[in-house]
Amino acid sequence: MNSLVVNEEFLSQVELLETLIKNNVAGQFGGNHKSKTYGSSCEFSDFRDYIPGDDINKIDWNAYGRFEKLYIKLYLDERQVHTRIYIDASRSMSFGKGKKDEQAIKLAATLAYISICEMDKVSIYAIHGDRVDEVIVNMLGRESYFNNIGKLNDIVFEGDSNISEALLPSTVGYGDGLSVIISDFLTDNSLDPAIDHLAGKKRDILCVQVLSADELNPKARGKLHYFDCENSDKFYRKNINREIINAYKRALDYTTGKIRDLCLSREGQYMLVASNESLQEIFFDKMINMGVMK
Amino acid sequence: MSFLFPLGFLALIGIPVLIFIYIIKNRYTEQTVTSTYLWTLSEKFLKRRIPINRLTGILSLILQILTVIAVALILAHPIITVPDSAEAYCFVIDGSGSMNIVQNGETRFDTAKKEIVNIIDDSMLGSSYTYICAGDTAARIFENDTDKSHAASLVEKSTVSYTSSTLTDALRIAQDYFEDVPYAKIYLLTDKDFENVQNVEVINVAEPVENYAISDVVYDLGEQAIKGKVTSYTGDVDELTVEVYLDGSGDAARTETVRGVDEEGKSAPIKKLEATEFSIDCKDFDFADARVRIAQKDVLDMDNEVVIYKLENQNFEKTLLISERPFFMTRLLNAVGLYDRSATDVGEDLLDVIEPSAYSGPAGYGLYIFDSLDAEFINDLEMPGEGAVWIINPRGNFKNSNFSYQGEVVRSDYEEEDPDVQEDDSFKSDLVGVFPDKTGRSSVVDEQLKGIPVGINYHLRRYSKLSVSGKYYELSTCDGNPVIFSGTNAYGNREAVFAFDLHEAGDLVLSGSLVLLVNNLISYSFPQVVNNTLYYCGDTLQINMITDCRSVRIETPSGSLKFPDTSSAVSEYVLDEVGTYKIYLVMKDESERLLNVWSSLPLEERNPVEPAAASFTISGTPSEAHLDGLLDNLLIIFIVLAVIVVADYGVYCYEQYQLR
Repeated sequence: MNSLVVNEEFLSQVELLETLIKNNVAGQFGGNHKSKTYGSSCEFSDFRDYIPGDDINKIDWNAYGRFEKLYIKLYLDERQVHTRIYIDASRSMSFGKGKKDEQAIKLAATLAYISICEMDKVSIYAIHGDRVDEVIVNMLGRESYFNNIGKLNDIVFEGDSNISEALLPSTVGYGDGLSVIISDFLTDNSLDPAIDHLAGKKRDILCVQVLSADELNPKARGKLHYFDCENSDKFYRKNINREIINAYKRALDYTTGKIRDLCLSREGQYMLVASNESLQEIFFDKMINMGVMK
Repeated sequence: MSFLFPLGFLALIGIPVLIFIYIIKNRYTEQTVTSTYLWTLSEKFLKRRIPINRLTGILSLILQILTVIAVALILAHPIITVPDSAEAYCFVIDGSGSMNIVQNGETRFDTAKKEIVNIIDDSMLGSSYTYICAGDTAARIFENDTDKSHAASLVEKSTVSYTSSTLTDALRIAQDYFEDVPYAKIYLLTDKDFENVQNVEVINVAEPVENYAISDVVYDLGEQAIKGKVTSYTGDVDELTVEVYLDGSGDAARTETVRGVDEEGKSAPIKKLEATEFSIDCKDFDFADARVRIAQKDVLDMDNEVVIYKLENQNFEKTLLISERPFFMTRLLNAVGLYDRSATDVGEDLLDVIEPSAYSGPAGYGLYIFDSLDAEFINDLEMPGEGAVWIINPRGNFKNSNFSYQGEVVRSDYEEEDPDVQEDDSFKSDLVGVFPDKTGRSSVVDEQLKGIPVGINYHLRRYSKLSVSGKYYELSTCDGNPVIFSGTNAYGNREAVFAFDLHEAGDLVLSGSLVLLVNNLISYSFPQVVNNTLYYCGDTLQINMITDCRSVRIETPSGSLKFPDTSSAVSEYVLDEVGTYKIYLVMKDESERLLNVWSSLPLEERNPVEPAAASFTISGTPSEAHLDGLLDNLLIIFIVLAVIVVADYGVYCYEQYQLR
């Protein structure tokens, strides 16, 4: 894998983006994301009757002048969220000329930067087999970002991955931000437990499926014996013809549709990304259109 | 079922080769991909396929194997035997001259051949074919040939002759064949009707056609006219026109309208099959050859003309007489009929007479006559190395001759200057020549030269005494000395010597015996090469091998060259074509003499609708047996093969479509 090179010009462009968090933000520290609870932000939300013990500094004296009754001014609370990015580090992500691993790392780095810019905490994990390996944890602030983001180059893509088995026992937080899973999702293992688990933890979910151009539109024809790069016991032997290609495309549509439906049913987001697709197109076009960013 | 060429099954080796190629070509290419998940999942989205469709993967191989099997079958040539379904065919074709008659744009012979080929083509495979052609000679061209195409090609190659029919001989051959193969189906293809036929199916290829013929054409020396007969074979005809073309000219020199004569002697139409005579006067012109033909067109052109070649023009060569006094010799030559001319004509063509001073050596003549010349004069010149030589009244030794000069014998009281002495009978007993001399050696040539019915004694005034050496024929003697003899000189020339002056031979030059002697000597000097110039096809031409002839080459009317055997005195050659035969005699000096003879179509072959002829009966009881037939119709195999190939191509196209 090529070493990740942070394009500062591109990063300066994505600084303008914001992630849209749907769930109630329940972070411990103040931040830039509005919470459903009342807090101390500058943004007025509501009035309520004064109750003894309230901070008298929050009494709205203008309202008292008109109504002769004490009211407390309520302001929206803004919390800091914790963005957790999970990168599928199985061999299928790096095998061949697809460069899905590069695309996954670039996506993770860019998403992390956007969150950092929103004063959020960012953790990046690599999923190896049934476990989640921490790559960068609780990264906060640009300085920390630039100090740590190079660790993504250390991710080794090998073996297989079971996202559900890996995520369930891991710490995923509760209602405190966005969970991004970047994978090709080309596995028999079900993703449902993982998505259910994250949804149960009130996490916003974004599944990014990265596929190579050859996976999206295979060009191979004739008699082929395919071996799975992650497991040589798995193979596919067929005379690839027009009929099979059509069946493959239907299988691809089925798979992507299944993941999309799963995410949407859990109020999550799904995005299909080609490994050769540009980041500008992904962030300034796809993500905005999908409502992941604004 | 059997196979004509079982080795054709070697083509089945192609099947394992095909399978090997299929295996090599259809090996799966192994690749490692990121995931087989989607590919495996795609199986669920494939349309359900009926089990037979699973064969599509090897359908192309199956079709190719079927193709190889079909090819092997074709090569092996499967044959199915069908008992008692084939025949033994025997074709007898009439190849005589009348089969040259053209009807419907082809000769009768060609029509007959087509009939045979059609029968062969329509016959069952397994049949056998025997072909007897009655041409110049009746011959079995092939027997029991079972190869249709081979038999048909041999039939196609056979040619018609111009001779009389040899069907009698053909019948004998067919009879022999029938005795061996009593179940044979015998066909006779001819243009003649037969009263009786048995065990033979006659296919008569004759159709009513129009034909005239000219026959019995001769040149009558006495009347100096060309005579002959014309005949109409197909009906009465008002008149026929006979044209005469001379010496190869394209313009008719004479045209004669020939009509018949009725009982009252009046002009009448020429009746069918009735030969009508004609005579064309030729007094006003001379010719070497005359082509006489009927002007009217008919179906058989070759019996419409005859070419007359004058025999003397064919056999004799030009003669050179070198003499100061040629009177007697020219009269003798005229008297023997060699030059049938008036005295004024002599020398115009075949005889040249020159003064001794004009002779400068041999100049291509067939006979050189040196009359009363001094030996010294002749010896100073080149002697002829060709032709024949006559020496009259030699006065000295002639170089390379077969005699030596011993002096002159002169009657004692002879006074040349005294003309009255000749009238005196008292001297006649002094020098008496005996002619012919019967005391000499006896041989065929000797007898021929002396073939004179009445001998005479004659009186001489003087003669040269010659001592003869080598082989010679003594024809006349005087006092025991040879005075007329012939032989061969050192050059190989035939030589005749008269040891006296003809002007002084008295009663000899007035006798008919001398004319006969000169005639014999002419024949001796110019041996006749051919005795006749008009023949019928089928006749045997006899060519007398003359001394100086080295070889003979015959050019037939069709242009082919023949070289008859010349090892004997008479060479024979059978004339088998109609037209002019050119006979080239190649002489020892490499020069060539050309003789022409004409060969006519035999009279019996001229009638286009031959009346009922003799029977053509194959005796014996035919058998009901048959040959076993064979079925080798490969059409169905070809059709199957074509279907397989097309199907294979379709599968290939489908595969290519699928792999797009």
